[in-house]
Amino acid sequence: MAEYEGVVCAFCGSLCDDITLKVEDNAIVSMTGGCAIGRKRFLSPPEANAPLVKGRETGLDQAIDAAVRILSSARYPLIYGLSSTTAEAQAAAVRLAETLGATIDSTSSVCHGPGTIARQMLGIPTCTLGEVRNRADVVLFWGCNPVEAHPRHFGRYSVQARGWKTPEGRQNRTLIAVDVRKTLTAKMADVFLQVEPNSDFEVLTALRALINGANLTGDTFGGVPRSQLEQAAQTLLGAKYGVILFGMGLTMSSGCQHNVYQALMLARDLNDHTAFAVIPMRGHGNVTGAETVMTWLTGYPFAVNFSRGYPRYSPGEFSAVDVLVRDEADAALVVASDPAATFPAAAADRFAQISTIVIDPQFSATAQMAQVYIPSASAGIAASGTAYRMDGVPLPLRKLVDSEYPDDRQILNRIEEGVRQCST
Amino acid sequence: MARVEAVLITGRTVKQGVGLAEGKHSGLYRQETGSVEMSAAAMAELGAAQGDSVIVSTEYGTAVFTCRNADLPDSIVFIPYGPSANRLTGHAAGRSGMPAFKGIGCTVRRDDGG
Repeated sequence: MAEYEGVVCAFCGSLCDDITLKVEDNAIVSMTGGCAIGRKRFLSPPEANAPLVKGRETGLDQAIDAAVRILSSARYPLIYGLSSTTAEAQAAAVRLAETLGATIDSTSSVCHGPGTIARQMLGIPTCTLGEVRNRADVVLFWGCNPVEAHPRHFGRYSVQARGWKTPEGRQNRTLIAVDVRKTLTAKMADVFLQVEPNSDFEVLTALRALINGANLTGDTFGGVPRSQLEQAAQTLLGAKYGVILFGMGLTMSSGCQHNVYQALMLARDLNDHTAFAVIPMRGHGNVTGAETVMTWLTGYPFAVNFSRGYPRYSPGEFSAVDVLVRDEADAALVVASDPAATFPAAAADRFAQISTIVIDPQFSATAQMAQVYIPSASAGIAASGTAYRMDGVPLPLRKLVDSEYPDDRQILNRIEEGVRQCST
Repeated sequence: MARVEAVLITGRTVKQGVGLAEGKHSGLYRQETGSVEMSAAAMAELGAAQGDSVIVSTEYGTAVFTCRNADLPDSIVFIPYGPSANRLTGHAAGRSGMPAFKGIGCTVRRDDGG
């Protein structure tokens, strides 16, 4: 039996790296640390499916050949997903997109993409989660619910975590939660501001005005009484080191990138008085890597098109949902993602109508709709590589067990090689 | 027939996350993503009890869910992310690429099998 310490769980953007696993007979048999989701991921992974072409079981080589044929003859190929695989596979996907002249997009466009657009407009005062653990005495959770989406974030980084300046953990921190629902996160906060749906921009603007000394005359702002906002403003101004952790309550609500812009401006305002940082609460394990890698290689973080032979960036135009709903893509290569289960129906249904290829360790909902399904070794379980935590820190993913299938990077490289051979 | 006008929020839950890791064909995933959370008052207005079947409609589509009580404002319903929720979410992404996943006007009515 082999024992592995300090294993990284690649399920969510927290990338917990304190897990101990025991492996026997090519199976993970016990686990220490991690959350309920991580335990399920490591100890009870779904059974692998064989490669499929048009619903029939086939060999790996035949499935890859079918993928090459589809992509080589496509008029407008789309490559999508990438957030649950390694940075190395993400780089291979970008190279394939360039070879094909394809559009490439990650799950960013349906999660924190608007926040990335805001960061491009304004920049971001940010820090690592280690700084949050060691320094943060005021934590503002806006439109995020880590108790359910990042189950160990509180304990490892932002609430109970004990650090250099926060030796008593929770007792050293004041928590403010802002949400439309009284979530489990909100229930644990010292201050809860319940905003009306689609009113985050208004509440952020009012809070900024208070921070900047304005005399507000209204009684409520986006459903939040002025007195509560004044109390929150005083708490924020009293921070020695504050952090704003925001989620998709901002990026998915009316205003999208403008909401995040206002949150970043709030941090900028607060930095005139004290120290404040902002971290997006990224969902998928390596969605931060998808943006990072795509930016290295193309200059842009998501929604990139290579049809003119050079990268062009246009969220709303080259984002996957838009490309599908406008009926532009005639082929899709989906890697380590399940858009049929996560996209609005008008986009999700398109995967059954075009030539779809899925590379995924799991036989996903998208795989069920695909013409070609290629199983792969699961990143961080049967494949090694690099993942980027939500704060941009890269961490190594280990190969713990053997898979009968190659990893995503190897499969993408083989497809690219095949496409190059088809074009010569 | 009684109906409730509300605002739909979709989002993550722990059970949805565990179901994801277990596989989207798992009973847990299907059960969780097939549920809608409502306030006790909203359920009473509908005449729906915990576990009853309700129909949620938006301008984008309609789907059937099992309702359960939660600590929510009466004007908000919550559905965990998943294929059923996405029958109701919008594709009008505008210039950000982000579809409408939160803050969508919806109607909830009891599913009386007709």
